[in-house]
Formats: sequence, structure tokens, C-alpha cells
Amino acid sequence: MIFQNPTQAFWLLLAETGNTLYMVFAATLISTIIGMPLGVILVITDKGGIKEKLQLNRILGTVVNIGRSFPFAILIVALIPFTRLIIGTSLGTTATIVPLSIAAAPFVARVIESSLKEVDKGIVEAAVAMGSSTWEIITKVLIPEAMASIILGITLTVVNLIGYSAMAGTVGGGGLGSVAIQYGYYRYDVSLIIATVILLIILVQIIQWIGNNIAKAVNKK
Amino acid sequence: MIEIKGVYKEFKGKSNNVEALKNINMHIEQGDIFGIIGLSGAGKSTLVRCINRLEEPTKGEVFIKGKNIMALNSAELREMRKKIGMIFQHFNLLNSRTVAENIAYPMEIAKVPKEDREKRIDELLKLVELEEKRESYPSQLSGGQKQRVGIARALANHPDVLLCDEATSALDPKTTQSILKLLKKINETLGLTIVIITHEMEVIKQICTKVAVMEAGEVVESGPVPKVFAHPTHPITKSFVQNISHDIPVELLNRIDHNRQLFRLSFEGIKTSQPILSRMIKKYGVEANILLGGIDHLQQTFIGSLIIELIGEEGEIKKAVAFLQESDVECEVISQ
Ligand SMILES: Nc1ncnc2c1ncn2[C@@H]1O[C@H](COP(=O)(O)OP(=O)(O)OP(=O)(O)O)[C@@H](O)[C@H]1O
Ligand SMILES: [Mg+2]
Repeated sequence: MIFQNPTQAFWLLLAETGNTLYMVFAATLISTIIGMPLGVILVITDKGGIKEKLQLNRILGTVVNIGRSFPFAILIVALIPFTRLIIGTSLGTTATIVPLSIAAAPFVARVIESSLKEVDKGIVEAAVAMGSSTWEIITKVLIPEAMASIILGITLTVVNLIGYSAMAGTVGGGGLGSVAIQYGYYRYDVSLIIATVILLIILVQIIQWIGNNIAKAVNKK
Repeated sequence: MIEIKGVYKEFKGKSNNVEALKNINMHIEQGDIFGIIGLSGAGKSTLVRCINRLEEPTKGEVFIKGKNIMALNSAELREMRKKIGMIFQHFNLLNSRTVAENIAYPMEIAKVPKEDREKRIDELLKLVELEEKRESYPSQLSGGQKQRVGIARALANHPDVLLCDEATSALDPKTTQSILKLLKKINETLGLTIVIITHEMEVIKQICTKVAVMEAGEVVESGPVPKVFAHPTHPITKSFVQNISHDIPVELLNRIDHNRQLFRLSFEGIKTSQPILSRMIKKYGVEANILLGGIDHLQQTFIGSLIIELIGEEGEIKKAVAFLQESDVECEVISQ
């Protein structure tokens, strides 16, 4: 055992759980800020959308697809210069937020896109017939009507990001992933690997439970 | 009020183009309840959607209160749409908003202050008799109640005209009645011009003052409802009218001798109270055997229809038929 007592291990795990949550929620926030407008634009510029612009739609769709098909491990490395530029370092929790956000943004864009596409065309048409502007339709119709589905999509993003953050932890990113690699793998402490895995499972369960409940509360259908 | 001039609409398809509207001309007056009837695919929805430019006509002009709406830019178009209410077959309410919030929506986008909105919501809920559902969500309402909310929402900004696309087609007959009554009441109390699309003659019969019959993108017949009912000229109109008037049961037809002559007579209004038939019998010495008949109460007028058999000399029968036609009774030979 590396640790004198379980208490010490407990505090380490607690601190790194906090780091994981910090990275994941910051990355969720940033990727939503980037991905949400992209998703909205993908919907409204699509065929039959309220601001049909097929060329733009096709280009944006391709960009998003390229972003999504990038393997995360490669993305972290590829983004090191960029991360250094804006954070000053490419190591640690705060630096990890950069590749996490960029990896999740195209995912969020697609999640928002598919949620907004579920909104009944007739409802949008009624809003157009009442004289709504594009902005009013986005903010007062599309997003509120799709809210439950958007929340489930964001929950899915959070869960994916927990997985990604653990991966980032193995290459100097901090959080529960780094505990698993540093203490568990390099110093052969299996009990810490098991503990991190259990913690990750619990985190995912709790987040999914919260997401489901918020979505249920929001859904008036 | 609404003037449609030479409107064409063509949908460009991959392999073939659909001419949904061909040279539509229509005049809808202030206070009319104007019905547009036709079979599925006739172009009814496309036509009303041209009135608020949800659909852009390929050619032609639409005037509302003398203003050419084809000339409006997008901001002006949005302003104009705020003065055109529309209700839909599937209601299209916002599921995330309560009844009151749904009615508030058009006022929000028209920048009506909050206190005024609340006042108007109360007024409208009273009008559509849904006061107790103020805070309910659409999912908690019946179809008829949803359509009442749709109507309240459409009226929120005091529109000049109300467009109804199959507004009762998703409702049962009893609920349909109550919605039609409500529309009639709105027309009478607010003087609102209403355009109703339907494929049910019942709807036209119940509340419309004028009707246009559409087939394959064209208006084939139009005019005041009693007139069109009593003297349908186009086959499609006849089929709509016969659907509701009294048709001969097949069993009866089969029992009738093929050498005998059957006629369908239809007449409108005051003539139902005149003894035209007995005059004809006296004058031409023919016998009339009434097989089936009835009088339809159509808003303020009556439409009578009779199926009779004329027995007598060939020449006299011809004269008798001519006499009926002179007296404004539609007379049609029924071929067996
Ligand atoms: N967006 C569209 N693209 C291509 N064709 C269309 C489109 N909308 C309507 N059409 C075609 O135009 C014709 C008229 O359609 P429309 O919806 O106006 O008929 P309708 O009389 O309202 O029928 P229904 O009673 O079924 O609603 C149909 O042949 C239809 O297929
Ligand atoms: Mg239609």
C-alpha cells in the first residue's frame, strides 16, 4: 500500500472526483455554448427549415462530422499547442478542459440538432403564421419545445465527458483517470483502480438519474 | 377584404412538377364566412396558405384590405401576419406552455405589455368558454378544448381575418358542432371574416355564407351557399351536395321499372312554400309520383330536394320539365 491509511486514500479520491467534476462541467458548459448555436443553425438551414440555406448546411454538417470522427486521444495531442496558447500549459485539469470542450462540441451540435428536429413541424408553422421572427421561433418555440430532449442529450454529453476525462487523466490531465494510472497502474495498487472505477460508475449513475428527472419535470407532453 | 387575382402555384418536384393552383380568382368580403371545399389534393390548403404567404404563389396577386401582400418585405410580412389568425387541423399548440401562455404567445411577439396580455387572455378564455383551463397544458385537454385554445390564440391580436385549415376534421361530430357554433358566434359578434377549408359539406352547410368548390387546382364553382346548393352545376359540386341531400336507396331504384322517368328536383328558399308541383300537374296533365323528398334547413334559407317519377305523354312531360326549370327548380334526369 502506498498510503499509510485509508483516510489518506479517501481524501485523494475525493479531491480527484472534484477535479473530474470540475473538468466535466466546465467542458459541458463550453461545448454547449459552442455546440448549441451549431445545432440550431443545422436545423434552421436544413431543407424545409425556417431559414433554408442548403450550401451552408452542407458545409457545417461536414465540419461537424469531421470533428466527431476525430479520435479523442489524437485530439488531445493535436491540441497541445492550442491549449498552451490559451491556458499557458497543456497539463493539469484546467488545460484538459480545452480538448474536452472541443471534442464534445460537435457531439452537442448533433444532439441539439436531433432534439430540435423532433419538434412538430406544425407548431413551427403556426409560429411562422403568427408573424414570429426567426429569433423568436428559436428562443420561444424550438428550444422550449425540445427542452426535455435537449436535457437528456446534455446528460449524455456529461456522461461521455466523464469517460473522456478519465482518458485525458492518463496523459497528465488530472482527475480520477490520473489516480488510476499513477497509483493503480504505475505503482500496482489494484484497490485504487477498483475504487476509481466504482466512483466513475456512481458518478455516471447519479448524473443520469438527475438528468432523467429534470427532463421528466420539464416535459409537458 | 381579400382579393385573390390570377394566382398560380407550382411545386417543383424531382421528376415532375405539380400545378397545385391554376389561375385562382376569388373575392372574399368583410364579414363573410367563406368556405372552400374540395377533395383531398384539390389545392385548398395551398390556396389559404397563399393568403398569409406561408406558400409563395408562383404567379398572381393577393390583396388584403387593398394591400398587395406580394409586395411586402419580410418585416412587413411578419406585421401583416399578426393581423391574420390561423387555426389548424392538429391545433399546433405549444406543448411547453399552458393555455394562458399559448394565448399570450402572439401578443408577446407583438410586444403587447404584460398587464394588457393578461386582460386579453381573460377575455378570450371567456369567449371560448375555457376559463377553468387557464393553467392547464395542452396535453391535459381534449381535442375540442385544444381547438378552442387555438381559436383564442388566433384572435389574440384582433385579426382582420381568421383562416381555418380543416379546423374540425380531427374532431367528433358533436365537438365539430360546438366549434362551428363558436366560429359563427365570433363572426357575428366581432364581424370577423372567416375562411374555412373543409372536405365536409356539412361544415359549409352549417355556417358558411359563400362557398368555392375546388378541383385539381381550380375553382370550378362558387357563390352564395344556398344558390350553389340548390343549383350545383359542376359534377364535383353535385357529388358534394348529394352527399348530404336525400339520395335514393339502391333497393328502391332496383324496384323501379326502367321505362319510367325519374327526376331529381332541387329548389331553394321561398319556393319551398309554393305549390309548384301541383301547378305543374294541373297544367300539363302529367302524374307525379313522389319517391323521396326532404327539406334542408340551411342557415336562413331552405333547400328542398325531391325525387319524383313523371307519368304521362312524352311531349307533356318535356313541357312540364321546362315549366319547372322556368320556375327556378333544378330538374335533373336520373339515369338508372
Ligand atoms: N410542399 C409541397 N411540395 C410538393 N407538392 C405539394 C406540396 N404541398 C402540396 N403539394 C401538392 O399540391 C397539391 C395540393 O395540395 P393541398 O395540400 O393544397 O391539397 P388539399 O386540397 O389541402 O388536400 P387535403 O384535403 O388532403 O388537405 C397536391 O397534389 C399536393 O401533393
Ligand atoms: Mg389540406
